[in-house]
Amino acid sequence: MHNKFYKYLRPYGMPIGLVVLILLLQAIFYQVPLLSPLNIKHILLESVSIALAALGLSFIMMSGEGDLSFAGMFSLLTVIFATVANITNNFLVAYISVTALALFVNLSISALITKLKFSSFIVSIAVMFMANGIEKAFHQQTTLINNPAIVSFSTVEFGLPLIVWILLVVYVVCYLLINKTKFGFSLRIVGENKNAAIEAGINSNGMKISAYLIAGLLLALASSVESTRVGAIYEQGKFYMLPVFAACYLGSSMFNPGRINVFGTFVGLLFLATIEKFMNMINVESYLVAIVQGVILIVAVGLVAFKNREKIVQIKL
Amino acid sequence: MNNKTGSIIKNLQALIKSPQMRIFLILIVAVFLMFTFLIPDFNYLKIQNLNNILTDSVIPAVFAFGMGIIIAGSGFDLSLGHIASMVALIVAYLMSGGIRLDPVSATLIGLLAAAGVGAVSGLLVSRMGISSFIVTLGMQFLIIGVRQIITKGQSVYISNETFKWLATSAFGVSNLVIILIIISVFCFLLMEKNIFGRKVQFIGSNIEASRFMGIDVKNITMLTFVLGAVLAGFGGVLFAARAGAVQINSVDSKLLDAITIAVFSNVIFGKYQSSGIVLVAILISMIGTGMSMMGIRTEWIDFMKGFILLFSIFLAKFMNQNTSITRISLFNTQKGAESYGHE
Amino acid sequence: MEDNVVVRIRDVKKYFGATKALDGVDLDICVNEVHAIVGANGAGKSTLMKTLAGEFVPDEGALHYLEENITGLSPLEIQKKGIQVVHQVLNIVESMSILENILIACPPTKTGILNWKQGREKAQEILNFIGIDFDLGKTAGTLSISEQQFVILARALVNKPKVLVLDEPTSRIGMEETKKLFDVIRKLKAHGTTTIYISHRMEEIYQICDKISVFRDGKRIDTRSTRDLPKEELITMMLGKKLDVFFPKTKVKVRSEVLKVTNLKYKEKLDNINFSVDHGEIVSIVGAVGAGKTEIINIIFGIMKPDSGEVFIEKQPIFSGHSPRKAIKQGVGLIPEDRAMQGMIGDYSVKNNLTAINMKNFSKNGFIDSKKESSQAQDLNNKLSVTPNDINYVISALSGGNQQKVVIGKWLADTYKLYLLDEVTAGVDIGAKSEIYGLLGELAKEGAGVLLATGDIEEAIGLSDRIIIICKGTVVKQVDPKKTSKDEILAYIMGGDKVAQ
Repeated sequence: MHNKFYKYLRPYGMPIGLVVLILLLQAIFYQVPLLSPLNIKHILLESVSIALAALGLSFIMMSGEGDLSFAGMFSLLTVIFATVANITNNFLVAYISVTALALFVNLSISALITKLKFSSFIVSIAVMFMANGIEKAFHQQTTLINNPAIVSFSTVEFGLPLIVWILLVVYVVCYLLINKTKFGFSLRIVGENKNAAIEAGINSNGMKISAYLIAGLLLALASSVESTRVGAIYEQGKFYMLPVFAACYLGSSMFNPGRINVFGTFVGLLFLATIEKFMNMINVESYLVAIVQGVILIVAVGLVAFKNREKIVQIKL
Repeated sequence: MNNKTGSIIKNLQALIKSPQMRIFLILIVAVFLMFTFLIPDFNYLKIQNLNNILTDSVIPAVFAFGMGIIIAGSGFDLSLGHIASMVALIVAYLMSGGIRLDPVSATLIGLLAAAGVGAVSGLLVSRMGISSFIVTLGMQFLIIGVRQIITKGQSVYISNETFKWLATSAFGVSNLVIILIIISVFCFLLMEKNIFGRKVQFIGSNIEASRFMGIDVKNITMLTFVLGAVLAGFGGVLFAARAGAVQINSVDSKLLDAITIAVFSNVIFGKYQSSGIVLVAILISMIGTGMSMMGIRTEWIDFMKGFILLFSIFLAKFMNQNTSITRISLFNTQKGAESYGHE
Repeated sequence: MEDNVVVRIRDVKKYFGATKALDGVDLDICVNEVHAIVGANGAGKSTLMKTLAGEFVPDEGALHYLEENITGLSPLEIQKKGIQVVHQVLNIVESMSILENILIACPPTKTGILNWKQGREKAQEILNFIGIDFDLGKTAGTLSISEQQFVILARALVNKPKVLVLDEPTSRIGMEETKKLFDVIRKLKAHGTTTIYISHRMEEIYQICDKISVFRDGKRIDTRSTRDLPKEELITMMLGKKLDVFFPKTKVKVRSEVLKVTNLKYKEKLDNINFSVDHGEIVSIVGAVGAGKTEIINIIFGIMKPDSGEVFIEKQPIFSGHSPRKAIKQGVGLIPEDRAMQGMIGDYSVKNNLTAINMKNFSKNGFIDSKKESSQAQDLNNKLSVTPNDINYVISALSGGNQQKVVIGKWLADTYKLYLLDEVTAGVDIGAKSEIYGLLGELAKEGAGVLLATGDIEEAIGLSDRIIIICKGTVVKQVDPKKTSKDEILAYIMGGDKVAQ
């Protein structure tokens, strides 16, 4: 009886622990309105783009690959969105151009990985560097979007801000896709055991390419949101790398035995966003925030690694 | 004495005979010729220019040596650039008005600090089994934070003349080149001729079997991180010496070069090869210099470097090499590894 | 096609570069039979099955199933036709449930949206057929290897195949489970399913199979019904020559203790393990799969840390911080169970593998002398007759038996006091087995102690001076192989100390 209770509880141990931690922080620093409805709204608002990017990375990691390119692509896409928006004054055109580029790049990457069997790691690093280079060519000319109508995309509200609604809907849809459909089932198998995927007759290459394409769509959406919110981010792209990875890894320690999963990424991201917001609210300097995030990432992964320490397998990149 | 030179010559001969080296040399010659003709007045051929190319390749090569050792042991280090900046800052600070330490001691302390950081990363990777990618990603941010605390955003200038000497030339060849030769020989001996290097490569190929063979996986892995950090730190010192001033994040971008060179070399030659690293560094330097002489802007040169990384895999594929850089427990624990042998 | 032939293979050839894996294979599999395929490593058994399963496309020849030509079809299509293969490697998806693993190739869905309730019935039906009671919701990663094997079996049976191929199905399961497997095979036979059974285990083949096809060098040598094929003849066919000496006959007189193990306890796996090994002795540890043999070996070598207990090498205790390095220094060598993952560095050459342990011997100040390295490697290669005899060959390209020789070979570069071997002849063909036995005999003759963990009772009886029987982590009895029958030993393995009393 005792044992069964624990077994049922174990997958939820981590998220419960994180929630308790946040509540503790609020309790200790009771003057700081960390969990007020307004603040929660802000936290959600500010984390939409990172959450979408993390979801995209989750898809790629669920398919068994890794990706670093988003660090460079994310900032490049914000730049392009802002530039196109300022030239055409049309949200849709900007959004479509960004989406097209993201899909193109991810399609190319996944093609190289599946057909030519290149290492996803090396290819994604190369793309990241290339994206950084292209971004520099813009010389930071465009930084903000001029058209208020387009900018309002990130501020308009229907109860909750529009982009938060979008975030929630996207996450729910992706959750269902991964956990309730044949597509998600096949994708997870491809990522976990490629021989099992062959045995099951799953088209591994097709699955991986699909994962990359979905990630591309999500990244395009993420960068559009971020661009309307803060403009083109240029060099700051690499700072987004940390929370995105941290969210995915933190998420993998929850709900599912050591595997990346949608809901876990969501919870992980909210946790990180809340912690960051908290530190901002008590006026912690930005570099300290960076340190804390670095530590959280290492601890999160450390926990997962520690749990799986018997099973750590070397994989070829 | 005769025996040694005889065997060195034999080694060199064997080296050039290898197909990978041949293709690579062809590549270098091709690039060289291309730039020679593309740039007006044969400026590319001028001795001064060739000297510059060689000199420019030194610092990236030093970084790549460090990164290469870590990669050979199936790890990865994203923080090398930041470690280099950190060491540069420490050294500059120690030599500046407040403390006025002599360059040698300052450098040693700086390298010690780098070794410390490398040891921490190495410990987390080897004892806790955390993927090196994540550890060094986190470490990057830790260093950024610590740096900020120390310098409060200011640049530090190097005024010590002795130090700057390091970057100037003697005998027509920059001292940097001499340093490169020394380091190349050191890494060659360590990684290719020494038991340590052999163990590192075994670990990189099959960590489990290495354990069963009595190889001290934990400590050797940690050492790779320490060595990588120290070499990167040294690269940072060289950079500072050359630049004369150290900004807080001046060396961060060297990571790109280090990765490109180390990965390129590892993928083409299949293992850690010092000569490969030197040659790739020279190649990258050739391309960078050539492009800027053609008036191409720096951002496109950066783009080009990323493209070269991609190209290296294509090249490796073309040469039928294994296009995976050793084994790194990077993202997920994935089953379904290929089994050996056939029934 | 005759009425009772269900799979017909004609003149199939498959090359991998210069290697002729299949050199013109002709084979008929009849309906409703249990057909064994035997052969040495590299004889072509697995290649043939993979070709049948659609993973390989033959370079020449054709395969027919019922009336249809199935040459070149994809694995999925061949599965749909009714041919299912249970591979040697267990491709379990560990994070998913048993239910999901069983239905991996046919997830229950009509519209793309999964409906596991439906799938449950289907999966439960198969489990009932096999005769196992599993909780379908349990995570597959928590199962034992033996249980996972049955999940894979269920996976193969879900689509009611007409032809079932079992590739070394009993290598990971114990006696009880083997019995269960045989019951399933018989049931399948009664329901009209043909089973193709690939195995090295002679006793099993003679127990369950109707016909035996012998393969050698990529060709089928002959097919005979089991009754009409005595074992010696079978072995001769497999090897192409007669096998005289199998086990070394020499006995050694040296008697001084090289290994002593007292009160070893390790988690729930081992309890109260006590025994010793003398110089010149060959001692076997036998037991069922999972009884704890590997744990004992690994603890002695320093790979695993016991909860309590002591290990003495030549009367010297070796604990607190024991490691393989220390073990090697004290003269202990280990040939581990998993050749590919633990025994060799696959991407490197035979030379590098043979010299991996004692690099100090041919280095000055840590710098390797390549001439000396090469000559040591070549000597070992010659001594072990590794084929092909090229020390620069990448070890992963060798056949299993030759790989094992290299894996053992590196421990011959120096003299060790104690050799630990974990299933050293698993997956090794008869010819190489015999050579290995001879080698072990020599090592004992030269004064080393040999401790052998094996699931092969005949091997233990033939080879050792003494047998230690382990059941569920405890020592049941130590017996003299000359005075104990195979059945007795089996009884001890199964029944444990109850039988011993």
